[in-house]
Amino acid sequence: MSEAAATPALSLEGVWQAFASADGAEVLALRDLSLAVAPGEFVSLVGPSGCGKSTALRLVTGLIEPTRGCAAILGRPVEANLDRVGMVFQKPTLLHWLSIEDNVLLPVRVRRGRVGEADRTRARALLESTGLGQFASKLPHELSGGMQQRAGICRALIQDPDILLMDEPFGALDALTREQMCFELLRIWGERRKTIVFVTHSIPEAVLLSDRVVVMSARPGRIESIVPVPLPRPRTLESMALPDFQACTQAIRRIIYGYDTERAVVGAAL
Amino acid sequence: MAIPALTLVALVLLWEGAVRVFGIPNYLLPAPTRVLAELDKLGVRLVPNIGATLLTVLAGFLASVVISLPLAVAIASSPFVARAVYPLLLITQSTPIIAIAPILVVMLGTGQLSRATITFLIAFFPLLVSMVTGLLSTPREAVELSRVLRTSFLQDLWLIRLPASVPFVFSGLKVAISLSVIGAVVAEFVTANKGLGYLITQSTAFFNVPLAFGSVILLSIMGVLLFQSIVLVERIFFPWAVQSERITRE
Ligand SMILES: Nc1ncnc2c1ncn2[C@@H]1O[C@H](COP(=O)(O)OP(=O)(O)OP(=O)(O)O)[C@@H](O)[C@H]1O
Ligand SMILES: [Mg+2]
Repeated sequence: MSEAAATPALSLEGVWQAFASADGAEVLALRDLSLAVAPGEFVSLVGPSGCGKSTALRLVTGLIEPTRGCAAILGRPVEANLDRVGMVFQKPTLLHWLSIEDNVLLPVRVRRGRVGEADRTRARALLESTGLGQFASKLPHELSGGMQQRAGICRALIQDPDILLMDEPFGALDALTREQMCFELLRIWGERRKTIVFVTHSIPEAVLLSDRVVVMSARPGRIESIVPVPLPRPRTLESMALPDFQACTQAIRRIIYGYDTERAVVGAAL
Repeated sequence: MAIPALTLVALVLLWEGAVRVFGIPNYLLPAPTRVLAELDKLGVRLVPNIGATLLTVLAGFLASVVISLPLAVAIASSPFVARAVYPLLLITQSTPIIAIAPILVVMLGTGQLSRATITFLIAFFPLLVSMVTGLLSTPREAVELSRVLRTSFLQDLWLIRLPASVPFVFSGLKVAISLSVIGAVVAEFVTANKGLGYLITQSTAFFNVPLAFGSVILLSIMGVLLFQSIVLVERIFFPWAVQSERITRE
């Protein structure tokens, strides 16, 4: 990458991750994974189920320690920079006893012990910007799945993190809502220029959103290939009709479904 | 509400009618009117008896809440505490409390302390179990969220695990309050000089079955009212818990 000299927003260097499974055997989840994400970059992780995508994100949030290698945020150890990271889960994971606004403010409450009027104003502005303005005082179960997921994104954004980690955030949504949420996310990203690492099972979704798509191979997870997406920004519905869009999704599919002879072809096509 | 009330009225009428038509003697089954007359005879002297029982119920109930909560937190937070404490709890639970009640009276005296302790021993275990279950059944995602946010132990407890366990706590409280009434009566059977349980032993000793029936009815009313006040507290202060209970039941 050209910005190789600048400090990456987050990096994994030679990371190995082994888990002890219940029967005592060791499961190797990640094998020698190295990845650097530049500030402001949008990177997606795709790959078969169980290849270690969630594990990679958990390493960056410091939930687990790499068996070997190291993870860094903005050039410093993960623990030192955790407040620069926001996390969006596959399920909205809202606390059902708190109003939407209080859910969004939960990270503030945890970090500072209490919530001030300025925080509330910020939370309401965030909710307003994602179309949830009128729902601030509602309980989560009064919202649809897509709205709950948007509230979950607001919660990740409340501390204005530099890095947003998203683990299949739209996985539980219907196709239509999912597409809308993608453009919503692109809008947020366009406005605030976060670094985003986005895990998904949908190849078109990854291509539509990302600057680069990281394709991982099945267990033990390794990076099979990194596919740059040359589509112009801002991306719109029309972007999906561009030849480059098709070329990228096809390239990624080929990497995932078969890579002996075609690999050379993919390399040539890019 | 109307249908249960109607069933109750019908049942009482049937009871009254049956006793009169078949001429059932008082010591076998007193008619409702006879029971009422007997209660009326005692009049205001019922008040200290009701008060004494209520005091025992509430003392035992509050003790079980105050002791169960920290114990549940300790058990749910530390597998070591869980393993150390559970066998003891199981022993106290498989021992019939009624059997050790007279021993407790010898140890703790014939006063309120003994009665409250007996009530507590009968009521606290189901409450403890539901509290532990509640604390351990925090949704996995909420646990993960809590860890990502780097909550301290107390923040995790206060912001996430305790609120998540509220529906469980309340179903435990409902069981505990009903058991507390039973416990108080048992305690009064063993040692008391007033109270509704005491009235039952005294009146049956003198074959005053109508008064015993009256005391039982007062006890049931007390139990229902106490149970309903817990339901009310939950509705007023934790409406979302009532909601989630309804959702999980459906
Ligand atoms: N805590 C753990 N203990 C043991 N094994 C684990 C643990 N976490 C993950 N693994 C294993 O590591 C591998 C990678 O898991 P991970 O959740 O990262 O996959 P994933 O790529 O996110 O899959 P999916 O797309 O289905 O979400 C899996 O084989 C899983 O069994
Ligand atoms: Mg996953």
